[in-house]
Amino acid sequence: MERSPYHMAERKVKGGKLVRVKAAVQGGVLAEVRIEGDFFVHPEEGLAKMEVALMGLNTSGILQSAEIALIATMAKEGLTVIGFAPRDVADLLEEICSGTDGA
Amino acid sequence: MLRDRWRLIPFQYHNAAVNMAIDEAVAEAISFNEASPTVRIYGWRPSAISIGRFQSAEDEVELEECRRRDIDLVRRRTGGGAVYHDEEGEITYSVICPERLVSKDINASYRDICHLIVNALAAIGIEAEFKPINDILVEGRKISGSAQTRRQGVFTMHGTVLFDVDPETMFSVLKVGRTKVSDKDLVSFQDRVTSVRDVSEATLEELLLAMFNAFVEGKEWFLDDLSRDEWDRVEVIARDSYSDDE
Repeated sequence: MERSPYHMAERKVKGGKLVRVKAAVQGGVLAEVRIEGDFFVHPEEGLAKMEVALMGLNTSGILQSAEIALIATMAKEGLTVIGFAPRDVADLLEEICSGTDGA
Repeated sequence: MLRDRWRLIPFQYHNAAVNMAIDEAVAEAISFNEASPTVRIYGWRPSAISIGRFQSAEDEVELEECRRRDIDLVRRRTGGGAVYHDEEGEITYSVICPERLVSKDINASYRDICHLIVNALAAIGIEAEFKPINDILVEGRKISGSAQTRRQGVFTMHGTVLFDVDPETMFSVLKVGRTKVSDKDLVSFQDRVTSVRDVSEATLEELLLAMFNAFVEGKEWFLDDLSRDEWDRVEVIARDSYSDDE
């Protein structure tokens, strides 16, 4: 059976919502990222832009680069996110990246 | 010119696709200035699960169990969590209006509309409280949740009020992970929810009346159904956007 290329990490944000990050890592970079959960993003289409902003980031230093990429995208696109902070997703990505061999 | 007389649509049952399509068709009509701000209160027939826009059906729903029980599944265009809409025990409301009629601040608009539900519950003798971001609690247990979206200058917020919980079905068809409740003190997720019937003698009719009264207080309003054009759009939207969900 083929293994899913996605690694997953999740957290219930204190005072916020559940955030589940699924990511595929290839060649030391984030090849695919999905952010799922019961949070709110306004406008809703903005979540896909946040995911795109994370793709291609190097897994080394992901905590900082992911947070910066998300903050920049939210500012550029005028997004309001309710239920998690960019740091929550960055933390989860770091957890995923630290558990993969970067292959 | 936008009209501020509110249209109240009397309680109706529909299937999941039609319920979601009605909200969208009404929002479209309001965006074209062809409909008044609208409040509708409705039920789901057959029972259904709606999942939030950003959720994975596989992660949130026991899909096989839903099929076995003939429970519909639909993805909302709003965020938020998975909800089990029991045909007999759950009431949903939608508030659809020009954005200018609600607070620009999203958290404040949740608070403002949830307070109408708190007032409705108070009218039938239930002391409830709004718990940010989007919940209403009775004695620490959730009785109502909600979700909103804003598109083309139109605000849509829909929410649920539990009238009579069927925990056996609810927790058979919803997956409730440990992470979801990890910041809660309660041992069981089941202990997190309550219903009108759990805490009062109020009937369904009394709840519906209290909700309508709370929504219209201080507003000009009239009772009406969707227009012919709106129903035509419902048919198209239900078929094209919601009928093959998941």
